[in-house]
Amino acid sequence: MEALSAVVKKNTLRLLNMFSLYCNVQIIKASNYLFKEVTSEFVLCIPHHMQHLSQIQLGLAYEKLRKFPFLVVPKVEKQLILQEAKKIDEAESLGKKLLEALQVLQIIVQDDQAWNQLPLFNIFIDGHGLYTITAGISTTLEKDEKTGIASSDYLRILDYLNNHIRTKSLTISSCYPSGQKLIDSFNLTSKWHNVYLEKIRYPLIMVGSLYGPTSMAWSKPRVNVYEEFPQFYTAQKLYSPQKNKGMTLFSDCFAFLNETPANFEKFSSLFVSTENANVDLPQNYISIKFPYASWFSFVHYKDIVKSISAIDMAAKYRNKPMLIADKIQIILLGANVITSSIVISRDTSDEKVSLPYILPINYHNQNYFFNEIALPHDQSETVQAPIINMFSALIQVEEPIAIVIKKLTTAIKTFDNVVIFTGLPWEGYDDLQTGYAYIDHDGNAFRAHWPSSKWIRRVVSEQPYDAVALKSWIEIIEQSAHATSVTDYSSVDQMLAAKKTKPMPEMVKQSKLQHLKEQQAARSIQKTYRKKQGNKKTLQR
Amino acid sequence: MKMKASYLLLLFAHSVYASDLVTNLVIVNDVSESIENSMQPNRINNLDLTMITELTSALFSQQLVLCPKSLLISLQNAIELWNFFAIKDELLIMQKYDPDYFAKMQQMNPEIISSNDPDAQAIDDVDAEMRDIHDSPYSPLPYYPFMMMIHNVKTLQATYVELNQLAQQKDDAEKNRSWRPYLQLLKRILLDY
Repeated sequence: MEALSAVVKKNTLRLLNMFSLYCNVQIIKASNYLFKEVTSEFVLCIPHHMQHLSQIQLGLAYEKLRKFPFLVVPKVEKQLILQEAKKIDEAESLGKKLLEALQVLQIIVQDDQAWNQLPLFNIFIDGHGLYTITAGISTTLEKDEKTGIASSDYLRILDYLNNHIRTKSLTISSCYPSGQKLIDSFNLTSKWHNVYLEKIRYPLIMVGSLYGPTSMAWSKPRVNVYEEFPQFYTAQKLYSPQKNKGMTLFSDCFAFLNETPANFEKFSSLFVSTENANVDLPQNYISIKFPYASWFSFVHYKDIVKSISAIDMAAKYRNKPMLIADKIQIILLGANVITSSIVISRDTSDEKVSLPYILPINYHNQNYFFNEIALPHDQSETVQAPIINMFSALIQVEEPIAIVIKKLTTAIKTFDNVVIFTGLPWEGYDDLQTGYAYIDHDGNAFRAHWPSSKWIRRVVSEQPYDAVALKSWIEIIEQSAHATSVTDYSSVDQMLAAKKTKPMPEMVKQSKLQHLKEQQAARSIQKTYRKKQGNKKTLQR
Repeated sequence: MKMKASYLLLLFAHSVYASDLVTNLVIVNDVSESIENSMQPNRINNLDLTMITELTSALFSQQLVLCPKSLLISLQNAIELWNFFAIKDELLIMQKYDPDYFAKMQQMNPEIISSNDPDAQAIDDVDAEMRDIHDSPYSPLPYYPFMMMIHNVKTLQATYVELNQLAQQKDDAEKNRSWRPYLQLLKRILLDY
């Protein structure tokens, strides 16, 4: 079966998807869904077991909505709907339309008592991620003329779920809802303080937080289709009572979120099978922003994930080597400067021995500096193989990330001054580039690079590079890794010539000013409150 | 920080109070990439099918779903495609090409009804409908995997051979349950072209 070509696999995957789809739909048809037209763009699909609920019980104003004739929509109308959808996408106005739909569904209540009667909502937003966290929902900040506050469609939806719907949790599944997308979407300027994130009172869970496209583990066959074949089980639903993880995943997700307190550990484990962790984890990694927190925390999977934090470097592993055990498949790189030597141990008796993926997670500063990485069991004679193995999860990342390894040792060789980079502009190339560079024992520098949008290549050709330029680049990355400010990568060559400083964007300035105003207002309210409390106590006495 | 911790507890306390009143909502988005690609039949992209499959997963597991009409329309077209192209009149293909297995299926599930007309006319209808879907400028994507495979009959044959080999390696029970429908489907497409 190893001889199966990629083309055959691809075709079979599609065939299976289609067949599964057909089988699922037959069952859906039999389950008597009620389809209600919310707006001209959105439809609410109500399962049979919820159709007897009143609006208050369901938490959505659906009774007066017109039925949508799913399965019998006339051909002309179908074409109009699809044409309209295309326009919405071109204008990136899906967020506005979703907001309109949510407003139609909102139940208006008069007081807190009525509000508390409404059900809590676990919401799962499932979609592609292109330039924004959820494709079609704009994250472009626009200033509100009345309030002067900068906001975007994306933030308005999160706000709406915060204030007008009793949201218990919000999960967003998308490709790479992390890194620069978080910075842009939430106007992040600091790791520990952010006006937008701190307002959100529900847990905000990002599925697919790390590099690469999210693998929709619950609904499509994964990489090794002949081993896994979840779609076969889906299809079997038509013929036998066997259950597929994919078909129950939404129910399982919600069941774990509804535990008290919410069971995030089990929830997270649904997206990763331990046997395939090194494939699934980089794609489906989960990060959670807890209520009122300003940062996203990356879920820690016991036994297979090792996290390297700044605290580790400052205290536990200060001047001591850090040993990465055989079982570890992912190294989460939280620290920017890794002063201790990282020794990666592998069980060489295992036929499938592979190096762990190193995943940088500090989205505020994507410059990293390792003093030393030692691979005592690796027999590589070139720098290419271990680097590509450890950093291949950075595929298709189109935002600047740079990593320096001062010393990389395998069982056979030592390499100095290794740089790994992705999403960087290079003069003479239209696309952003991903690649690596290093200096060999004779003092000669080499580099290899390819477009960031392409999958990483297993064999890449190296070309001579200027050793002096590489050293100065390494210095800049090292300084940036130590600093709180982030390197400006408008052009690598320009950056090497002179490090530029960029003024704070006007939007960020305004946002900070707004926050200061809000803080002042809050302090003044607190003062008044304390004063009143003080007066009350005096009266009681 | 203490203030925030107390808020957290409050939130969980609310959850306890209203734990029997939790409604789960799945919002599935749709992007025009699917529509864009459908207008360019040569561009093959798995994204679109993924979103349709996501929607079926949510509906299949009986969730409350809010989704764009365009996605539902895509799903509707996918059903039409299958109704006409792959399995017409309750597993027509299986009945035609593997009557023994079809009989077993009927025994297991009385809802599967034999078709009286598994003939060329049905196939012609399929083709006509396929062309109709294909000609529409805004037709959603589901047809393309098949269009591509039809244009690559050799690849399809290779798929069939490989799947068949794998099926031989499985024990009988599993083979019957898991592999047969796909083999029959492939066989049918091959025979037609």
